Amino acid sequence: MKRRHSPRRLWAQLGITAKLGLAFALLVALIFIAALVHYYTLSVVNQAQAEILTSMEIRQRVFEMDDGLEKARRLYHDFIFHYPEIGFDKARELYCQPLLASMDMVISQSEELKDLLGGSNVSEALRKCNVDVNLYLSSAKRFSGIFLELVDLVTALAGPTGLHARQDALMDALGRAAESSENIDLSCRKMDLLAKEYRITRQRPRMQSVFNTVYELHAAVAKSAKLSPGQKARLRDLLDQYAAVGAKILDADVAIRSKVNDFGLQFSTVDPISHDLKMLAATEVETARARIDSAGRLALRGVVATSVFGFVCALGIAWVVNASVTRKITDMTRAAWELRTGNLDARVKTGGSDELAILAESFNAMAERLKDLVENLEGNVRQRTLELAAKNKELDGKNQALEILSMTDRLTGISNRRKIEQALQAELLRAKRYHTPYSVILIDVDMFKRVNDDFGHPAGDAVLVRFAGILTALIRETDMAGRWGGEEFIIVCPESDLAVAAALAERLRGEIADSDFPPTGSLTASFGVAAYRQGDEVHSLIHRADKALYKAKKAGRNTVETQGETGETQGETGLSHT
Amino acid sequence: MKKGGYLLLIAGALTLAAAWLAREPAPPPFTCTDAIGCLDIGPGEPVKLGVIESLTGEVATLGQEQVRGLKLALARRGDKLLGHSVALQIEDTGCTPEGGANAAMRITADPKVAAIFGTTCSCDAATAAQVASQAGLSMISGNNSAPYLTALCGQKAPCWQNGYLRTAPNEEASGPTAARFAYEKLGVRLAATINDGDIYTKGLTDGFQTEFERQGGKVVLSATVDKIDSDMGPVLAAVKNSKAGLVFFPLFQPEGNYLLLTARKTPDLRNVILMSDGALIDDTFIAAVGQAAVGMYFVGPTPPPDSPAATKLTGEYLARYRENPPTIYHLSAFDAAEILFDALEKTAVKDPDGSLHLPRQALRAALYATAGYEGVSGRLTCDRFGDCARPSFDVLRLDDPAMGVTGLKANAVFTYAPDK
Repeated sequence: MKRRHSPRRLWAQLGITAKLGLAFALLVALIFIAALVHYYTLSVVNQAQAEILTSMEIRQRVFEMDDGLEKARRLYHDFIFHYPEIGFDKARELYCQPLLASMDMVISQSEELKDLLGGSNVSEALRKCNVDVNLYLSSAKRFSGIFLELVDLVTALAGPTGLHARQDALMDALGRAAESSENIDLSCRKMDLLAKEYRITRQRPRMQSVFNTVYELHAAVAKSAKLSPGQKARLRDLLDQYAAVGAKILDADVAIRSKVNDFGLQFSTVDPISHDLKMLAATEVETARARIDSAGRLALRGVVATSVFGFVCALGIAWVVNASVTRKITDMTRAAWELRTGNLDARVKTGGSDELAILAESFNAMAERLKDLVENLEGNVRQRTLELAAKNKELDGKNQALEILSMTDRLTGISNRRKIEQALQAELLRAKRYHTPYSVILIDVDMFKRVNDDFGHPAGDAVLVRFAGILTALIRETDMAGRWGGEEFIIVCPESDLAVAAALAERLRGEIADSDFPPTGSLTASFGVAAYRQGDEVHSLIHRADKALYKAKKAGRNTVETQGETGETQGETGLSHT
Repeated sequence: MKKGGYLLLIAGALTLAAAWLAREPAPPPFTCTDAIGCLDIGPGEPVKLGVIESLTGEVATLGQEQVRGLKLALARRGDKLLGHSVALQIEDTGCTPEGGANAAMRITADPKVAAIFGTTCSCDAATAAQVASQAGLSMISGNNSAPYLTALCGQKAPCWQNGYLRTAPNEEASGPTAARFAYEKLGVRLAATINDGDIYTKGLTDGFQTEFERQGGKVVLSATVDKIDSDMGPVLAAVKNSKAGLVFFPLFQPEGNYLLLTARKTPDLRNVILMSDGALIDDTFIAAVGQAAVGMYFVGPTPPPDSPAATKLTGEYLARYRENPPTIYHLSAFDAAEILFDALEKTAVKDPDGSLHLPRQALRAALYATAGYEGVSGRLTCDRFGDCARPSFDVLRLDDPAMGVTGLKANAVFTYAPDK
């Protein structure tokens, strides 16, 4: 089956280092994006600032060009209006030179403006204005050239030696030449009047009338009888000169009118250009400012976006670290703790193929192994404990039996000598401490050797057992009967003085004497009774009881003999029995 | 990725590398060696043409006719040249020299302009051509006819400019046609001329005077009026004084109107023959002066013979502009535009990306080399002075104003073609 490489699966297959590497790469990418945003913003702002500066410089240049052009226009008008009053030389000095200087400045500014518009910090809209600046520049140059031509024309027309002056001089000469002919003189004055009228109106028909008058004057001169041939020739020459000057004046006026018209066209050309340039530069400044604002807003959005994105990335990285490392370590820690506290079923969730996933799988395997080990160990311990308990029980039984055996005479089943000695010592100590009475009865089966000899040892043993049974049956609950050795028995009587003990001994003696001991028949026993005395030890007490027994033996057996508290043997009852 | 995928990727990369290595070598970049420089036009840029015409004033209709002739020629080419769109920068001259100069300056301020089409009036052509020529541009007109712009007596005329050509006939022969007709047919021996001072009218009157006096007549008055003049009394008084039997006054409207009407009101000029030129062969003039123009003569270019091409173009004009062309100069305008377009297409170097490089001197040479071009206005061959049309002029007499220009043109009383 084809394996699917889903992102989740690919992610799971990545190692921790790779995951952390990816996470930090994301973080670095974020930083890079933030840096790009800021770099872009700064570039936009710098570019916009440069454009603002350039636009303002362009605007400043255009203003200066406009100022220069306006100044040139003013000087041009001043020249036209003032030269008749102040004369051409003065007018040239006052107006022409400054005008040309001003236009030179305008041309220079235009060329600089052209360079500015060709620069890199200029918008496309302004760069397109280079064509307009070309036109502005060529118009400015043309203005200077045309103005110089105009000045020359005006000078030729109205200068001190110009056409008007020449016409006036010719008129004067005509006047003088026609002095002798009133009609001709009158016609000349009429012609002069028309010429003056032309100078005011600049209407060519007026000048044409002058030419017509010249034609009429020619006829009049020819017909005149008052003029000499020389005067006529002089007058005809003057009239031709006058008409020729008039024609030149017309030509000059046409040319001047053309120049003035040219100025008007130039102004109508450059004025919109400078106006548009100023408007465009101002617009560009506003556009650049708007771009800065826009860049600022973009930067703000970028900062917010990168912050949000950064926060998301940080969360992502935290998630990656948490999911890839912390959570797994926490799971493993918790599982280890549970394992430590005995939950052998504690396991870690596995998945992926990173280092921690491998560790988790190892942990689970280890826990599984541990569980197996622990479960086996407990079974064994339980088995062993059960076995041990059985053994202990068995041992306790045996110890108990042993204890019984160690404190019991094996033949008679009553306390053996060791047990009796312990009881003697214990009662002695009690008597010492509490000053209570305490007595012992030492008993010996009379003539027992004969039983053994006559009836055999098993019969002897049976007698002893029967004897012990009688003792056990008759003694008080607090008393203790024991086999002292061979056919000697002893009874320890706590809280019993010598009399009490002697009474007990007597009752025992009688019972024994009355009892049947098959197969031997009747038997008797001798009793020595001793009571505790101050300063006694067990051996001294026993010794006195033994002395009393000996005495009873000596007294014929089947007798109870006592050993008093003073150390004197007392005949208790004075009874002695055989 | 599977092993096969990697192999496929490597094979693709190797194929691309092999294709890149085996590609056609790129043509060398264009290097301009033209004496007066080259114009570079980018792939998406239009071919810019300057149009300088008189679009205001009395001759606005003529200027408009020129622009329309140009647009009709462009329309025939799908409004494209060399695969580029065409941008027209249209400037008005007002039919004045200074207007021509300033219009040309506005055009030449844009270094991307390929050539100039224009002008209407010869007076503005002189100044405009000067500016254009200095800027290295070629210029062609379909309406200019003043001899001073190209050639006079087989020599360069005073206003000749390198790169200036025209498809309207040089009216150097116009004045002589009028002079011949006046002298030979009308028997006039004394004549007066009145111009308005510009090179067009002055060229005509000068041509008239030269031929008239060469014929044996005498020009007894060479007067001038200004274009702003309305009082024609004094100049007509001079005509009366001159005793001229004919007045040749190649003026435009309204000066021509004023002069005619004033002359008709002047009893002493009742017998004086009035003759003007093509500038007044216009319905607006006839309508304005009415009966006053009866008997007046006009000298103008001989209309091209009727041809299917001219008829077709006139039909296109009518269809597109909903009116008949006012003169025949839309034909020469169309031819001027066609000659210019052909020259542009011959000389432009086209890059594979569509960029164009236009050597400006080569363009001029191509224009001057135009020979045997079968235009709608006739067969055109450009000479070294820039004249492309064969001169032939008619003298027309207006008998019936009601017939308008059509009737006038149909009433040719004299034809003169110097080349024949």
